[in-house]
Amino acid sequence: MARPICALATPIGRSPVAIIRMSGENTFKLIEKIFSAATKVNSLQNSHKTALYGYIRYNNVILDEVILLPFKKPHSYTGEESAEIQCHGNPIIIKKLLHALYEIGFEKAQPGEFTKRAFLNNKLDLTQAEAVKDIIEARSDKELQSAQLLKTGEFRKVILEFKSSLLNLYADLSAELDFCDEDIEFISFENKLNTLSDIVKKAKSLLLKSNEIQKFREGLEAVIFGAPNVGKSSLLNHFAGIERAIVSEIPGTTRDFLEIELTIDGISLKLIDTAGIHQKTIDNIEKEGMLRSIQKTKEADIIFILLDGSITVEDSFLESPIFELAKFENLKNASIFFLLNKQDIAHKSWQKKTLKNIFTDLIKINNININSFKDIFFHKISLKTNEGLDSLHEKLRLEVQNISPHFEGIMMAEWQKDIFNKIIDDLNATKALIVNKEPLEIILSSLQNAIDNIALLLGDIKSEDILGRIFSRFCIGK
Amino acid sequence: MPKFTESSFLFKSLCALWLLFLIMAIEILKKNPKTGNFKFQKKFDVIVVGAGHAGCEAAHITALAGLETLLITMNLDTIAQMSCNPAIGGVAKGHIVREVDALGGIMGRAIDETGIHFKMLNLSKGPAVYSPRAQADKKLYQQKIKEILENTQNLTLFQDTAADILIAKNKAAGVQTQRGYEFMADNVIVTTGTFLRGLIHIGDYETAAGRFGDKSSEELSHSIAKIGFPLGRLKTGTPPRIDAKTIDFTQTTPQPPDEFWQPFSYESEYSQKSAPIKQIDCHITYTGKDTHETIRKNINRSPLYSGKIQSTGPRYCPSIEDKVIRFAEKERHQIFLEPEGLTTNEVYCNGISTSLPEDVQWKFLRSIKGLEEAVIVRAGYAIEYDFVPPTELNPHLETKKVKGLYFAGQINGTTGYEEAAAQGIVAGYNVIHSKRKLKPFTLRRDEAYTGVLIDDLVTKGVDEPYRMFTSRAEYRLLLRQDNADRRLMKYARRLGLREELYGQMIERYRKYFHVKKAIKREKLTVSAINTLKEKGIEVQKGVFFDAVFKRPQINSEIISLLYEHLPHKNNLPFLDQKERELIAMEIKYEGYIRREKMKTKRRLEALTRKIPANINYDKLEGIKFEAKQKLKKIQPETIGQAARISGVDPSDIDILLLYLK
Repeated sequence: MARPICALATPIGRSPVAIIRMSGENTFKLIEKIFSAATKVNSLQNSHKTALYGYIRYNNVILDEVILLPFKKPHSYTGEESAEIQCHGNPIIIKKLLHALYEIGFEKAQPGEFTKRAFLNNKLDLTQAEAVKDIIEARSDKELQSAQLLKTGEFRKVILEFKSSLLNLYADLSAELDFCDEDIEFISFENKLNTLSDIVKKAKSLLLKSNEIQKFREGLEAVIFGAPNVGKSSLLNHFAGIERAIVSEIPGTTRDFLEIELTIDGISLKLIDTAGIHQKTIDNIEKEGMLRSIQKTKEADIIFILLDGSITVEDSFLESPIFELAKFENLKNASIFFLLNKQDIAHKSWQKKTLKNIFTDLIKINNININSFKDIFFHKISLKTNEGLDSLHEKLRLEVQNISPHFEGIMMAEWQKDIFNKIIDDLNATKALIVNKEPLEIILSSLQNAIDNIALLLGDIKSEDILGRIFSRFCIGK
Repeated sequence: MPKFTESSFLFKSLCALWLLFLIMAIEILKKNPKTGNFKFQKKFDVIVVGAGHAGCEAAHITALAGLETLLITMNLDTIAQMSCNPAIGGVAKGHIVREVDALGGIMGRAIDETGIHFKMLNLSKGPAVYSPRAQADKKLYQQKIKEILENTQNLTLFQDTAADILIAKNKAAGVQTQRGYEFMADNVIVTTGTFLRGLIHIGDYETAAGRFGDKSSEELSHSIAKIGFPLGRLKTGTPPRIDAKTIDFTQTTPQPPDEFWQPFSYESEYSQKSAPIKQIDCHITYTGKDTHETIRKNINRSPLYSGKIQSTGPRYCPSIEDKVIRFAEKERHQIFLEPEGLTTNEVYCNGISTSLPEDVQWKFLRSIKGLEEAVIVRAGYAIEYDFVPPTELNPHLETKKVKGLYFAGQINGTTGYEEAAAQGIVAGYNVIHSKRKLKPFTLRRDEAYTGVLIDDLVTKGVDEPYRMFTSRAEYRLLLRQDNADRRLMKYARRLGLREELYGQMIERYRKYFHVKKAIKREKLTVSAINTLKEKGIEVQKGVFFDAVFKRPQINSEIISLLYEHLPHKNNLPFLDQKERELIAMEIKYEGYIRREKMKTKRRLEALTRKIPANINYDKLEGIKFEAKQKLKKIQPETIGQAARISGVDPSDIDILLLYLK
């Protein structure tokens, strides 16, 4: 019997509303001890999915006015008798409510216990349970969509399709063993190889897509570079202000990076400020350290290079780290935004040519291979007067859309990816065996490994599956 | 007067009691209407009902092990009758014959002496799937089996029809026959084949029969149902037999037997018996467009399509009408013309089993190349029969309901002589084990096809006649036809059977061991390197012999050369080419073989976990309703068995494991 558990379902902290979840044996009976409805209601058993307005009263003290939502077994998330209390999101009230619940017989739920119970009660399968975690942790619309697909069994469907193609090949090959004296046309050598290649391709593309989607999860990454006082922090704060992002300090190994997370058009973007780096004054060793930490950051998708527009072109460039940056392979797939700040007090030397031409010349002189960067944008801005910021925003939005992979596929958890990699290895080994014309039962043994691994994702595959496939495809029987 | 009333009450009750006795006595008499029941004096250890391929193996092995055995058959002239195909073995089935032989069975020995067309199938693939097959001289085969049985100590043969299984206190007690005999024994093995309420169909014609020309067994079926076993119904079919002298063989393609004979039995193999009896060809012909046209036109006259037959037939052995309808795009279907013996003209038309009316059979047969003038001597027919769902059985083939009662063979929903023989011998072993108070005898899936067979039966049940395929075995590389002796002979020896052969088996593998060791330990000699170079294989100095064996381009010629160059070759035991290739293969693919062994080990650890018999599945939360029903019905003994039940998913197993922790 499932013991009754409860937990706060919303984040800790002040909010208008908080939700406490309860589930398990006798949930209704226990709650009835402390809940009194404002209007007369039937028993909780007869109020399935009905919002009940009332009070939580414990030791003759009203703790809060709440809305209670009872769910009858098995029509709840966990499949058990459950309920939700919506109360005011005050930490003190929440604490008191939880305390009362513990007192009347609820136990504190373990992390993930509600989902675990849902799984145990066959409300979710393992991939779906995995997906619940992803839905909770999703940080963008697209990521959420991916997680939702997983939960609706989409992943299972994709894997089932994949499994089916593997089993068909296995069945075709097995037929040649078990029905060697039958008058049936067995699959040709080329056909075997082609089918297998197709399957490998399919597996690889599933992995690839999964990795692309994983990028959403980690979010795109943008890095701001620039000399001191060029306005890096202002740029960061500007974005932070508009997007109401969370600014947090992340201790790095050698330097402290400042990092904020934004959501642009439903895609999460991590903005990293290499704050505190004094380009001109630091010695070479420190510069090395900084650049190493740049390399350590994951492949940046976007790089902002901030230049001081209030000094001469030459001075501004001398101070900027652009020359060093160009050396880094891992930055070469990034889109570059050259931002000329301080337009409010602009220096004359910038007005001779267009920004683009100035850069092109400089880059030529300094022998930097500009083609290594994907996209380059030039913007004149002033973070003081907000000049040029709207057009920067628009450009950034388009670019984020542009570099985001189009969603189509399923994101796999690490363990699922591991299994997929193993499957690909098995399939490649099988291919080699076919090429070397090794005996069929050895080829099948190798293919079997791939199928065994699929079974890890989906559950057992029985020999009847194979025979069924053979019989449906060949005219067997003397 | 009170005294009087009292005594009158006493009197009345006495009368009532008397009446009760009388009624009971009548009831008892009624229950046994046969007068002149003859209770056989001698009590047997085991009674085997039915002398087909299962029954013969069962009776032989129990008698051999010293148990007083009675074998009851309806007809002593049809012992070990091949009701269908006059052949033994085939892919996976040949493996089973070898296993039965290693366990002390007689099927292999009998076919070795009576086979008229031996062929090793799958020779183009690897040794794990080589499969021996042989056409038998049907009559000689039967005579051979009968001869072996008649010369087996402790074995009594008796001709009568079993009518009732006697049971006392939920234990088998004996068998009562149609003619009123009562034979007593604590163990009864029922191997009734297709005879339980057998019903033959040819078009609209139907007749109760166990096989064309033989009576069906009606009473026994009722007896089994009365005990409380559910009965299902299956269907199978057989093709027409034709007269050889009316076949134009010039229109067909001859199929010669193997040049080099490879016997089924280890006895023949170890003694290097070199030749079978006279070998003859089979012939191949094909159906044509006219054949299909005739069948299609008359399809609604087939009891399979008119709805007369509702029971399921095997997918892998469809009737010709099934093939024509289901694979309409196929222009021709292959027919093997198989002789039924050396001294008979009957030819079995393998590939056109049918239950179409006889006029249609004649018509479509004569549209086949070479058969234009053919004369049918026995018509093809379909037969429906009762079977008991094998989920009623423990893994040792004893029924769960009645102790000492065993079912083996087609009654369990299988098809094939080999599958029957394997069950027969396992049932026999279990009677011996039970008599000797040993643990029940079961074989694992990684140990024998026989293990796969019985595990599939008792765990999954059947919904069509069950036939063995290599695809059913997860450990195909381990279960080779050549190594059945190594896998299984130890079980025979444990019972004191096959001791001499066991010694020869050990000697054989010791020989292999030494040669293998040499191959792994010795480095290539200069002469070996040079010889390989001539064959286009570049090898560095200092390479071991086994490394060359693992190369992809190694063929039997190179294997031979390598053996010739092994240092100290003269001190090594002699191996013939067949054995050399076998060892080469084992070395070459040892990675794969090891992996399968590892897999079995891992699986074993997890799956041999016992499930307590008193487990209450209803109380296990989280297991699906369907899975619970299945688990309750089948009562698996181990996690492994539970996992293989259809409808029981891995998530159910996870929960079960959680519970057992």
